Amino acid sequence: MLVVGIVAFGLFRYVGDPVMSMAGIEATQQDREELRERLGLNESPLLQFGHFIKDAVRGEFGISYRAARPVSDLIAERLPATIELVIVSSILALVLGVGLGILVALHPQSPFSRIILSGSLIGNCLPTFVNGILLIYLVSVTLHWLPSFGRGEVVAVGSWTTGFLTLSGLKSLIMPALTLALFQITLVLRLVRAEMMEVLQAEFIRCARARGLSQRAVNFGHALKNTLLPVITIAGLNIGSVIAFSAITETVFQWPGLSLLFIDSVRFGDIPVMASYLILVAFVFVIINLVVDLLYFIIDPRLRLRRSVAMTGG
Amino acid sequence: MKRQYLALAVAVATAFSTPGLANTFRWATSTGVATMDPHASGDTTTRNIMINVYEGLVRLTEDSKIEGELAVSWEAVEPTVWRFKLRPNVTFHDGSPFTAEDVIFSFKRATMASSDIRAKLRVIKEMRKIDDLTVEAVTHDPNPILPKGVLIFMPVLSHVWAEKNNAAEPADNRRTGKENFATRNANGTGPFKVTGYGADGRIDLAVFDKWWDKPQHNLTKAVISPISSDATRVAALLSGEVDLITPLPGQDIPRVKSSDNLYILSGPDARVVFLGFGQWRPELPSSNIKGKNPFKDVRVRTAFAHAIDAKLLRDKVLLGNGNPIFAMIPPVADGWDESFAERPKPDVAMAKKLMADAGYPDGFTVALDCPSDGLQNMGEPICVALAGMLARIGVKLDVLLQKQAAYAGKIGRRDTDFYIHSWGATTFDALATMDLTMFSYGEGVGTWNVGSYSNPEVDSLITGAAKEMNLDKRRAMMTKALSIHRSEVGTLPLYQPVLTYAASKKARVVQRADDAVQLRWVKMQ
Repeated sequence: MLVVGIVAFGLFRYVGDPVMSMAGIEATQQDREELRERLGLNESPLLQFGHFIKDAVRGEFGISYRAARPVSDLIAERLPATIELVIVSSILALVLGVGLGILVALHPQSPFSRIILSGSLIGNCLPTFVNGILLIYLVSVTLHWLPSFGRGEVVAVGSWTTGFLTLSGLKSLIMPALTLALFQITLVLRLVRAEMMEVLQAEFIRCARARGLSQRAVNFGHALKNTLLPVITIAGLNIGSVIAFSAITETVFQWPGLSLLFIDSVRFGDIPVMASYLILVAFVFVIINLVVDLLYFIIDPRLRLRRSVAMTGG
Repeated sequence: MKRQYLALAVAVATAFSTPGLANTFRWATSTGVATMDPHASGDTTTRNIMINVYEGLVRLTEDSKIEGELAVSWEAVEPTVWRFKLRPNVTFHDGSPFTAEDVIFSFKRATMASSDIRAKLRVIKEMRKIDDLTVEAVTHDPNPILPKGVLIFMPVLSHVWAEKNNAAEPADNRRTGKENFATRNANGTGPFKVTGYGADGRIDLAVFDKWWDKPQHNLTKAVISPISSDATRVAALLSGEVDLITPLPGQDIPRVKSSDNLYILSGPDARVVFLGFGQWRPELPSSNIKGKNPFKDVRVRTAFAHAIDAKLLRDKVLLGNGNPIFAMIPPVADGWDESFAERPKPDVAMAKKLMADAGYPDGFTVALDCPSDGLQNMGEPICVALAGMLARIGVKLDVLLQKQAAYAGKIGRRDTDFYIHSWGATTFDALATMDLTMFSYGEGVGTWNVGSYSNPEVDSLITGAAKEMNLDKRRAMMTKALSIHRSEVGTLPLYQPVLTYAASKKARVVQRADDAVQLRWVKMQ
């Protein structure tokens, strides 16, 4: 985290001069100097970094140069949009990915499976912004079904704004969530399919069938459970790419989330916003890795077993 | 009972006076406002959007002429004193009346240390109240174009409202970390009042019934949404979700033209794109020529002008969207002369000869600073094309592509040998451009004369024009200074860009050369 902090800080000190864009073209040298002083840009880099870390630990990320508001406020305002988008798209990815994966694995020869598999190649290969734009042109421009940008009407629940409670909010959510989920869906789908086909060949499945268990029990009770472990690993590690793709998705759909805030701040050389975003993302990464590790423990009995064996052995 | 009838009558009257029920105009911009406080940000987008909410003493007509807004008349009572008669019976959106107090208050507020527009008003020494509807502006030096050139940039706030809400100063959030009430609320005298400002940057406006002027628009509401991605902005228009997009990216012009429901608004931008030569350093750090600076030689600069074919650039790179000219101001600005449209003839042989005469028969290398996301997003293709043209006279251009934010910092420090930049004549007058980009660089003067061209005669003409109250004499001095700068190729002007919007045929929109869309002229079918 500290390393990310240093890199973020170091990187952005050289990304551009915010004073130029803020002071305006008619500002005199003196105006610019005053502004520089006000922003604390005249202090030594080490001192500036010290302030930055001290404030970050207290949850204060400084003041946005452009919006002239505390970055923590801006982030709090934008966070709900991103979280809603990521949650919906993750659910989509897991449900569709796992569901379709199982179907395709169980009926590998059916035409439906072949269509799904070739379709998944498209999802896997086309970059997110192309998917997003294609969706917009098809669904919004040609068919006029769904809005092409924004989040629709939102309802404030305390300090949280949600798009779940209005029709326009839900309609606006569909395309961005699908675009963001597409890569994940195809990834999970292919993974589930491969794992499942492998597991279905395993001896314990044949034993289970020999025991006369129903198809359903074999497929879902035994095969699926054993398939899920690598899926969770990969899906968990892929949250990182969800964040990366959310930057693209949010830009394409003008989704007012954190990543859009970040992209806009890059344009204006708004250093406090950029640095805070990076630190926040690093924080999320650390948390996710922790959660994935803990999940292993719950899902895979072998891990628990091995540990108890190790303990008795030790 | 009586009151009910009255209410009914009012309701019926309103219903009939706005046929076609509610007219909502939806407009998508590429960037949103930085803040609602018009004094707290000097950003052009912020100004051009908030101009629909906050008014100033004067405003521009459709063809960029000046007329009274909150002032009804004005005159220079002395060379340094301008007197303004204010418009009576004007109210702010919150119902408070507009008086001279508000003008004085707004001037003080706009010139405080935490104001971002204070530099624009620095020629004014003080503003004083004469009576409730008369104010005077006192300038440091005589200023013949004070209303159009300076006061147009001063939005007027209500002092009652600002003081009541602890917003008497623009929030200096950058130091205190606090915003104030005016950051996200607005209360002007303009034709539209703000009814919503969301986290997504969307602004909801509603018509202000008590506006002093007779509305030429027929809107009841307006929604302004920022959409930064070009493709998405175009898609929003194509799908009918918005009625106007600004700007329309060049590559989508054919797409919009092919649609039956849309039309394109395109007109000259009050701006000039030019190349600047770093003339202040004894040698160019990025060049293979050591010990001297080739750009100090007028023959080299002239050779560059003959080597670059701006018409070819317009046709091949800008797809026809540009007006090749050879002056630092656009034709719409005061000070323009017909001869400025004529460019040095593209002539490689002549350019080569000039280079040889100057002692560089084999040319030289130099780096060009180029904003990849600037120049209407055309920075890269333009710079690459220029490199190709200059290669014909042996000049090897090293194109340094960089993001606008980094680029602006670099050229602001004058840390450049050769750069491409654009300059807007926002006041439709040559003097501000000349003052900032041609006057010899020094403490507080010639701030944006990045290349540091210097000619004492040009300087004295600029100083003279700044104080000349006779507009004809003043114009002649400006034109002469521009001609000298032009003949010495102080910078190399390339073209005047084109502003391109696209709108639905349901909406009549007026395009103005300063890129400000005025909702008061929008008519919906």
